[in-house]
Amino acid sequence: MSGDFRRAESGTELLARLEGRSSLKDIEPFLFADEGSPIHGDILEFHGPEGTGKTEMLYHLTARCILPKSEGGLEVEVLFIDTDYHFDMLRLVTILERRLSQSTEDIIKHCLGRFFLVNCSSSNQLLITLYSLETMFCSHPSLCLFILDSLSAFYWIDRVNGGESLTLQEINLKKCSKFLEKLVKEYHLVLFATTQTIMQKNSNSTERSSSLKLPCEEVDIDYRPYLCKSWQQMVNHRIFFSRHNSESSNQMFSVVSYHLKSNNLIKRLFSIRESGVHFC
Amino acid sequence: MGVLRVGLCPGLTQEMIQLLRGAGIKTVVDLVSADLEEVSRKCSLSYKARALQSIHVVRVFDIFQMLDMLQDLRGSISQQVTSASGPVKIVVVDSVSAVVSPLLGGQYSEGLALMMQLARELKTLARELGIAVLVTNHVTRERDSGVLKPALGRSWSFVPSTRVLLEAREGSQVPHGCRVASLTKSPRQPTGIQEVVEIGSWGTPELSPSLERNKP
Repeated sequence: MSGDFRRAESGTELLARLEGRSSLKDIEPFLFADEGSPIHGDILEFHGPEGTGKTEMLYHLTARCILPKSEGGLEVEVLFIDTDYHFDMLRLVTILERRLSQSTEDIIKHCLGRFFLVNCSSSNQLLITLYSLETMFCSHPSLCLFILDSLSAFYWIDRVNGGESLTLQEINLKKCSKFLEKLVKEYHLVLFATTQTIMQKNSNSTERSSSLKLPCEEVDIDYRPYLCKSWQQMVNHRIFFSRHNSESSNQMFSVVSYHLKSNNLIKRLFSIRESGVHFC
Repeated sequence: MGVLRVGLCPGLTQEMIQLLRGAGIKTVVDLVSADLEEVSRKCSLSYKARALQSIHVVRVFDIFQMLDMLQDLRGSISQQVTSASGPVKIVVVDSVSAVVSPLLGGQYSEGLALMMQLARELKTLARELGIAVLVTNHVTRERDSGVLKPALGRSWSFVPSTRVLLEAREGSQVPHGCRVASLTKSPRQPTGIQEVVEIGSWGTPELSPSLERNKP
């Protein structure tokens, strides 16, 4: 076999790629402004400190996708990549049980049949896993939602492995980001990725305003970008999570959803009940 | 009901049966209805000693020893080495801040990388080998608001999946010698649940003892 030749697509692959991946526009109207609903090829980032409801929101979106249409779901498949052993199956099943009008074991099993979970324990493993997932997207045309929790799990280990050179430190994440972008655009998926707030907010206000460019200054967001530029540039939509101090005994959370292209910003409050996220 | 014989339950050897016979216990019913303190005094049995044998204490004083220890543990479990007291069910690390705090605060990020490696080892034990992992950590105060938060910084705060805050609160509702345990983070339960725990009997002062277990 000589040199490089363009990879030809088979008929099935072409069909699987272009054929209707269901629209996820209605996945959660509360999270998005009117023009900002996620469409094919969108990449969304959930960002926030610990205990602010990011993983719970992912369960909420997952449940919405895998539930049958008769129960208010979208009946599409979900791929969940878990990089820091965060995922709790019992919690997902509890949410499904609470949302179903009749929660029999069969229906739950049927819903979970649309859910695929992958664990990765290093950035190398994540990269190899992403390469191998391409065949999965080809063979599952109803797989529309791609979740990655979290993308920043290997940050410190990668930084030390890369030594002094910033390029080497970021190389795995850069390759992962580029490949994620390719997968999402080619297979018409929607990617939700979480990143953790592990850096202190810089008290220097000029640096903050230049990195974030938010339209209204009254929204106080603890955001200091630290992941590689490739990732930061491919995100269409950033959603910031934080705790909301309220007088009620119930812990409330606040979510600020910012669409980078249209510059739209909306803020919502939610609480977490046994049936999952509940918007106020 | 059956007569006590060898092998009926773990630890019931011929020697033990002879000792029990001497104390007048021949059948299962006799054993179950007997006063264990008295029996153990008569037969010089020590079930407390057996319980203590199930606890293995390892002393480690820096992070490299800790990582070695955890990898040895993982190796022995994967090779299915069985010890006399059965498989390991719970690992308690007291305290994780003692081995990790010396690493943090410098200008190099090796300390943080080692901390995340330790976190990964503990999580692997918990998730892949099904062992409960319990760690203890200190608290510090927020600079501006004075609110209590766990030590070891932001990166560590993502690691535990359940968190219980123990406080010694002085007040009329809290009897002397008791502590208040509050659930501050949980993957499945609402936070804010509080219990008053009495040190000594390790139970709630009014009701029967209830031990809180934290699974990662």
